[in-house]
Order: sequence, then C-alpha cells, then structure tokens
Amino acid sequence: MAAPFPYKSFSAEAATDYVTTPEVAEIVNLAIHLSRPLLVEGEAGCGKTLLAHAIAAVLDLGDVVAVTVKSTSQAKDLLYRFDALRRLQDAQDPTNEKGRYVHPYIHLQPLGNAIASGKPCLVLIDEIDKADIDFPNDLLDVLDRYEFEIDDLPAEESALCADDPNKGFGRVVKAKPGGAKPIVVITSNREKPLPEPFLRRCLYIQLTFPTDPALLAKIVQSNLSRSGEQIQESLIHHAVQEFLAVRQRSEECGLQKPPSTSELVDWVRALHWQQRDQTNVSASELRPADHAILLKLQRDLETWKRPSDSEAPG
Amino acid sequence: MTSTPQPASVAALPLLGLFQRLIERGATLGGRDYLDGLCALEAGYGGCDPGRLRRLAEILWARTEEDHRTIAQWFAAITPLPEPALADLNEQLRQLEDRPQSQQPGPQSMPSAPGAPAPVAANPGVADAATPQDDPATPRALLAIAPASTGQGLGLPRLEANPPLLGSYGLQPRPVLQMRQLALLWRRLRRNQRLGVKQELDLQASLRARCEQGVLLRPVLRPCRRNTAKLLILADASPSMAPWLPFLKVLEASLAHGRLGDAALRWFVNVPGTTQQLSQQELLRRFAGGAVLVLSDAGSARGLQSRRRVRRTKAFLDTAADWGMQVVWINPMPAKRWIGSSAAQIEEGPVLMLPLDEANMARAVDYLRGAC
Repeated sequence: MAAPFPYKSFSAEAATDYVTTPEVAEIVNLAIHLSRPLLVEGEAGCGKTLLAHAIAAVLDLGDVVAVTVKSTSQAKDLLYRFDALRRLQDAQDPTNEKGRYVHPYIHLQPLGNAIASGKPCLVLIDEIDKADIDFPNDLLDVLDRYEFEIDDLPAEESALCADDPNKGFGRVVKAKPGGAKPIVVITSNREKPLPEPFLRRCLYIQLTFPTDPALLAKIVQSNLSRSGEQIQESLIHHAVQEFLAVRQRSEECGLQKPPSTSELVDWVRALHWQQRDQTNVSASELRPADHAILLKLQRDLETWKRPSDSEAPG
Repeated sequence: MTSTPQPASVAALPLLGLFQRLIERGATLGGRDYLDGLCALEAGYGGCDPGRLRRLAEILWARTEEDHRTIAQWFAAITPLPEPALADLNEQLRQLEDRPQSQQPGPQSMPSAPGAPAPVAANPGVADAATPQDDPATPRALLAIAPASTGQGLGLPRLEANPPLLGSYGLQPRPVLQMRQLALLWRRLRRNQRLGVKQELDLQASLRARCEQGVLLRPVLRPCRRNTAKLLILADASPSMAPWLPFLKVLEASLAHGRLGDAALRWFVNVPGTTQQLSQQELLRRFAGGAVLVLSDAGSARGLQSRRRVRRTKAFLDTAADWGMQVVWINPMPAKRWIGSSAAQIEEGPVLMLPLDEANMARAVDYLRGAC
C-alpha cells in the first residue's frame, strides 16, 4: 500500500506572515506534489527567502534547512563531507581502530541529511547564482532522483556504515522505503544564467515587485507583525505612496538596484523611529538617512542626486 | 481467464499534441516532464477550464518566451464549443460520472446527442486525439467542430488569407553563442600547475612521511593546482564589426567564468595589436606563450582588399609567433565572403581562420590548447 502523501497543501490565505497570490501557491503545491525543486527568482529583497519560510510555516515543517551558497560552493558540500585530515590524525595512533575505516569520517550535510532522513522538511538553497556555473548541473541528478552516491566511501564499508547507529546510510544514500522527499526551494538573483536542463527540472516562480499600494501596505504590515511592531497605518500608507514614487524615479533613472520590499519595510521602521509623519516624508526630499536605506550602491546614489532633465537649469 | 489490459491509446493522452509541438520547436522536454503533467492532471491541477489547463502547461513546460508563445498559439487554435453543445456534453459527462464504474461504456460506445459534436474529449483540447490523418499537434476539438468542407470527411482548418505581420513575432536578440557555452569552451583551455601557498593536503606524501619516519608530526601540504593558461582576445572594433558588438560583449563577460590563469579582451581597429589601452610590447609580454583569439572580419564584410592591412597583420602574427603565442582567427563573415578580400590573403598566411559558430569555436580552442 502506498504511503500517504506527507505534505499538506499550501495556500495563500494560510500564510499569515507572508503575502502571496493563489497563482504562486498553485506552483508551490505542484512542485510539492511532483517532487520537483522550486526555483524562485526576483530582484534582491523581494521576498524569495521568506517564501520558503512561509511554506515551512504553513506546512508545519519546523525550521527551514537553509544552505547559503557561496562562490566556492560545490554540489558535494550540500550532500556530505569527508574529514580526511581527522582520519589521517587518527590513523597515526596504531591503537585507534576507528582510523582504519573511512565511514566514521563521512558526515552528511544539509541536503544529504534531508534526503536520508525521509522526514518531511524544506531545504532552502539560497542564492544558487552565486556558485560556479557547474553547481546547478551537479545537483541536477540528485534533485531528480533524490538519491546520491558517496564516492569517498569504499564499497566494502557500505554495509558497515549502514549498520552503524550513528550513520545509518550506505554508499548510496536515499530515503527509506515510504520516506518523504524533501521540498527543495532554490532562490536566485539571476546574477548568472542557470543551465537550461536545470531550469527545465525546476518549477519556476518569478516574484515581481507589486505595484498595488494596498498590497504593498499589506506586505509591510505583515512584516511588522512578525516582529511585533505597532506602526500607525496612516504612516504606512503614506510611506508606500512615496516609496512607489521613489521606485518610479529609480526606474526612470535606470538605477542598478532599485529599492525593493525589504527596503520599504526598513524605511517604514526608520520613519517610525525618527517620529516622522506625512508632513515630512516625501520622495522628492529624501534625507541622507533615507538614501542610506533605499539606495544601496554609490553609483545609484550619485545618479539619484543628479538633477533630472526637468529640474536642470536651462 | 484474465484478459490483458489494453495500453492507453495514444490518442487519448491529454495535451500530447501541445507537448510534441513544444519539442518540435526546440524545448528540451523529456518523457518525465510529460508524465509529471499527467500526474498533475490526475491530482486535479489544470481543472476543466482551458485557462487553468493552459496555466498548468506553462508552469510545467514553459521556460522561454518561445515556449509561452507556442502554448498561447496552441490554446488560441482551440475553437470553443458552442454553448448548447457544451452544456449537452457536460450533461453527458455528469451522467457518466453518476454511473457505477463497471457500467461505464468505453469511449466508442459513448452516446452522442444529435447535432452535438463528436464527444472526443471532456474538455476541448484536453484529449487531442491524434488520428493518423490529423496533424498530431492540432487540437482534436478544432477539427471535430470545424464546418464540413465541400468534400467528404472532416473540414480542414485553412487560413483565409496570409497572416498579417502584427505582434505575434517576438524578435529577441540572442548572441551567436551563449555566455554559458563560451565559459565551458574556455574551461577546455587548461594548463594546470601547482603554484602558490601550500594549502592542500598531500595524502600520498603524508602517508610516505608517516611510513618513513614512523610518526607524522604534521600533514604534508602542497599548493593547489591552478590553471595558468593565458588567453588574449583581440576584437575588431571597426564599424564593419558593429553587428557582432553584442556578441563581443558577451564574449568579454564570459572570460570571468572561464577559470583561466589570465584573460583579457582588447580592442583594435583593422590591424590586431594596435590597441591604445596597452602598448603592443606590454601586451605581448603579458600573454607570452599563451593563446590569442582574433575576432575580425578582415575586410570581408565590405569585400575590401588592402595590401597594407594584410602586410601589417602578417607582421603582427609573426611577432606573436616570436613570443610563443598560438593564434586563431575567427571571422564572423561566412567563408564564401572571404574570397577576394583581405581575409583570403590573411588566411593564406600563418594563421588558422575559422567562421564563427559553436563547432568552429570548439575547434579554435582545441587548436589553441595544442590538441590539433
């Protein structure tokens, strides 16, 4: 008899701390149902990582197993680590029986653990575009079959390792029969193009910046409620209106990093701390503190401060 | 005695026509993708609404603008059933659903109401029965309800006139080679040497030391292996090369991902080596013993022949050879256009000149790394 499906359904309404759409929720549910990785793209600060946390919260999956990718990351780093140096040190002691074997020095890493455990969980591979261009391709097969081979583990030690209560996995690591496959959420800022086979394997969500003031205000309120902050609604609505004006001008000026939702939330917080109100918050008269929050690049700041054509003296 | 279950008819597979069309148009989809589509339909995604079905197809199979366009065209080609016929069909389906499973007739024996279209699918476009005489990619529903033509059999959909050239063409600039393809090409250019700080564990040497001395005071380290291959790209910035400027920009950006020991792109006008950013001597010194890739039409874009240009180019190529450089010339113009221009004369000289495409770029890299 087939094991019952281990995951609940994700819905936009159930995500109390995260504002999303039914369309996004449908893609999330499809990815979970088909056991396909979910690739979330969008500009920095638009809530890609938070989406993963929202899914985990709605589906009662506990803490997200997060892996932040670095430029030096390799796909193997997500699966297992072989502590060769420790083994070498241990092998010097002729009385150390442990040093005669490899498997005590093999440690599963976040994705490897999630696959081997067979328990429902969510693995977040954050900012995959930071890694080398081989990284996604190396992960492709693992994310396709949800199993992998530990090359460093000799075949003759496979059974020994599987019987070890501290290990419990063989040379081929896969979920126990009836075990759940982890939900894998991958985020990317599109700094580097991802290979097409990898894109094909994933279900894809493009998070765009919302232009509806009411939705933006809802996002801000949702973020503030998560941290238990109370801020006047009138200030939030006014800040959202001014922020949209800032955003529009950013696009007209061609800024490299236009402010996004995370900047908006920080800005509202800062306005509240500075005890500013509707009379002294304006997109046309931003203060240095506003610049520091909204514009992250020196070049963008210089472009912003440059008078526009209409303002330039004739 | 048990009867062998019949395999599901290919004709009854939902969205197969769309899936095949996507593959025909270059989408790299596999059987697994189609099976995922079936799983999703079985689980209730896509529903009975063409809009939701189209969205499901987009979520699962569309990754490029071209894919989205193909799906949109495919769904647009489905003529919706007339309302009375649709209501009648829904009523029939509802009756079928109400019956016990064992009493349900097969598709062949489904009752058909007079005047209603052939009940080929629960939803137009879902089951695109591709009979041998039909275009497999054309939705069955379209053919089923198309008005009968003057002959016998089904009326074939025909265009009344040539389609207007409106907004259905999405022209997107694409480089001849994508950044990723170029980065992978550069990675074939390898000359590995162990250089720099000793930071990698030398397991063999450590074991040897342990065996020789009886005790290992500290592990033996060695420098990491690094790629010391050098690549200098000399790109022609003269006006005749303007069409390839976007590609040259991609080429320049791809060098950062090539894991090369040293790589640079320098611009020149007409004769390679005449760069303003760095004197020729400094450039030659920096890339001595390395690989040089020249990208220029060498006068073939305009069909020009200049003895001075050829002479100066050959002089540069000789100098590069003196510095131990391997040079390959990539000419983006088709080879038949080289005839009668400076390109033909340069090609006769001591340089391998190749047209610009993926296969020839791979050949160029093989030549630069001494593999051919």
